[in-house]
Amino acid sequence: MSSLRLLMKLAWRNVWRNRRRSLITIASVAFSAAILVFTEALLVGSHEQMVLQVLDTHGVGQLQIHARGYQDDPTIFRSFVPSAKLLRFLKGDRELRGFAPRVQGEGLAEVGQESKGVMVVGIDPELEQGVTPLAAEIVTGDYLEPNDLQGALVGERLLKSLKAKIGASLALVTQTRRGTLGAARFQIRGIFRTGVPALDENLIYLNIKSTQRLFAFGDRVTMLILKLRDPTLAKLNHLKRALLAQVNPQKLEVLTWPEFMPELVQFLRFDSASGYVFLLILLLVIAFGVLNTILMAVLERTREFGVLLSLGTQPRRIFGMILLEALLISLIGATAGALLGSGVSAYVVQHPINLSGSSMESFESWGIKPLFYAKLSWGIAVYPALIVLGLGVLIALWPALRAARIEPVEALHTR
Amino acid sequence: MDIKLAWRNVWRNRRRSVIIISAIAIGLAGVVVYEALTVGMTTQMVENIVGTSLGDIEIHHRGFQESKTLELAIDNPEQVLRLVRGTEHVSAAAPRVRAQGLVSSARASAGVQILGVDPTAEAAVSTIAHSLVRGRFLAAADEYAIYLGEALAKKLKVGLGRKVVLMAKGLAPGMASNAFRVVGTFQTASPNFDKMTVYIPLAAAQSLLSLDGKISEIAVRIDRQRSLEQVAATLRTKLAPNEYEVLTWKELVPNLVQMTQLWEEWVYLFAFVIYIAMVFGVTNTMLMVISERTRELGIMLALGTRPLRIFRMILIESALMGLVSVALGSAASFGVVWWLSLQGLDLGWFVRGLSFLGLSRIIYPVLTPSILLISGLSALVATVLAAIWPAWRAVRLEPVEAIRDA
Repeated sequence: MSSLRLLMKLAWRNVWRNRRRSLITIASVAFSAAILVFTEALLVGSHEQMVLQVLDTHGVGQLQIHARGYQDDPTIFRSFVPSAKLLRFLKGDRELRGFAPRVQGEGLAEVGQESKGVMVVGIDPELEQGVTPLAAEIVTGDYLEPNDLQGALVGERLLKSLKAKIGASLALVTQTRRGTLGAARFQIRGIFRTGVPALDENLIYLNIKSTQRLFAFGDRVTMLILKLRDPTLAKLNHLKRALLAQVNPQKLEVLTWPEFMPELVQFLRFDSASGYVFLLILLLVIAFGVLNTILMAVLERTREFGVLLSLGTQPRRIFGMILLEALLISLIGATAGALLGSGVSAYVVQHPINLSGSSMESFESWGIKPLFYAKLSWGIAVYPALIVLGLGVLIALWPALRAARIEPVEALHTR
Repeated sequence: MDIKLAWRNVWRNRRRSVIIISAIAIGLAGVVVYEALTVGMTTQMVENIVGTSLGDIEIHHRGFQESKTLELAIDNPEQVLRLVRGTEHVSAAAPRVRAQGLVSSARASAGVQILGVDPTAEAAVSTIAHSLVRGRFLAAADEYAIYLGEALAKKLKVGLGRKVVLMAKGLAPGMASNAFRVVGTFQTASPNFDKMTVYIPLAAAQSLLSLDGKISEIAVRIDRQRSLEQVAATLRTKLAPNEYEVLTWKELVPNLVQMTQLWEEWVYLFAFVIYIAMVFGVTNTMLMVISERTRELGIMLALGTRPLRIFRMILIESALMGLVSVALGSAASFGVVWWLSLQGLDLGWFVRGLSFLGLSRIIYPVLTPSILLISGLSALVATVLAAIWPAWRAVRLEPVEAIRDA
């Protein structure tokens, strides 16, 4: 115990023998730890926000219940009647912020001389508000009244390509569930803008009842979409399991957002991967710099180690001391870096970085605001620092081994 | 003389110099490969969109881009095509009809974008004929044939030789429809495009939509990207501006331009952070150099060497290490890029696909001279900047104390 304390004391003194060099080494370790923490905080925070925003703007909820097979083959031929038992369960679930039924299928929209293939989405105007921000996305006109069976909400771009205006009459031609042709006239009540071109030029929202008539659906729906109060993956999966116990899994499928929007998961993974590759390059550069300082510090002390060895100090103690020195330097650096990185991250948690006006705005076409969010947790602050700490000690292995292998006699001859 | 001296000094402590040179070289190679992959990705994204459904340049009737209406059609396609094909740097041009419609099979229907194309000319401007999955691309002799996305065919549950009905609103009043026989299916890098696009012969599209020989657009490919603006400008002078609009892909898909710009900005930020890390390493190394040579520097100063010369020599020493690093780093990045370009970087290692970005799974790096030049220069500047403080410290040594110190 006392020998460890002695070793500790020695290592500590050695670190401060060349103060400037140690400080710069500490600074570069701290720099890398801070960048690591901050990058991780940005990745995690931005990804979380990105997911919520993309799910919101795309109006798809966080969890969906479909007829079995709909995810792989999304046609009007896969629909279901939500059982009273299921609806009761959903109404009673306190974790839910809301749920809403959807009927959707493809059709051709016509206004005057213009026509365009569209996606027709039938919504319950009241329930929809608990799940998607559609009502807030109306830029002109009004949101659908609950009993308005004639009204239609049209995307901004679609309106333009149909050369239509608010109040215009819109004809929809669709294929019904029975394979026959369905057609009906509606009136454009409101115009919405999500910012996502694919949605704004393709979607038409109608009352679910008129949509059911258009597709000859009866009481059937295409899906139920659900939104949670606290949408963590753990809670989503928990709810999914609870739902699977409520429904017949032979007939229905319950999907969480990573399952119904796999491309979003792929993008997040790709984004993380490119972030980690960058951090790896950074760590390599820093590692070589730190290796240099520690190795030089050891070589400078060849004579000192020679003396120690000839006085009978065991080589492994010298090995241990150098590792301890590296550990001290990395510990101070990693701690300072983690604190700095967390500090900056904490600021960004409160004040997301606003990048509007830059090319970040291209993200708006995916339904993502040009804002950079951060997230801070113990894991985000501590793990990167631990990686840097481990790396620091790892780097010191070579110099420490060299010092332990010094030939005492030769070492004493060096200047 | 100074350079020779500095060069010798670099190699006085070989191990140390090798380590710091490796650090800079690795950082530089990392940055260059990272940038090359990013440029490779953006290039592929652009090529996948431009080469499939657009063209480097598109010519429409004035106002078509804004309204996309069939009424704004080019009514003298032959004349315009001749003019375009005779323009310098234009490698191919093809007429297209672009309209919206509904395609139905007995099992399902889907809203689609209808592209009426001249099969021979289209094959010269786009890669769509090569994206074949089953059957064949349209042929010049086809009348009511349809070439559609594999994903769309699956959704409609139709196979080769089966019939589908296309319904669309043409220039004539009322809905027009006709049956088309499936001759082939395609798959591009974009699943969305595959799900909502059908190709039919130009003549069939013109008759379905009552276009009477008119077309919506002319897609133009050019032989080199750097002539893009120049070719567009030439075409603009050749074609009456009150009748035609000439748009480059950058104007057709501004989002894509923003996206590629965003990625490149990110890479610059990454590179900047890496260079800062380099500065830390070099500063520390040079400080060690100074402290090791305190006595020597003291003697030089005492013998009357001008401080400026010592300052300069230390910067030169750092710059020489930088130069060696840049040479090694560039060589390393060449090697890695060459190796990656043989088979491409398979992103399947960590993602199943990036098709939603319009990217294939395999990325090929694109190394441009400007990437190499800018990154190399930045690394060199970083190493020299990093030596300023140590050099300044060396100059500030008190000769007498410095000599005694060692």
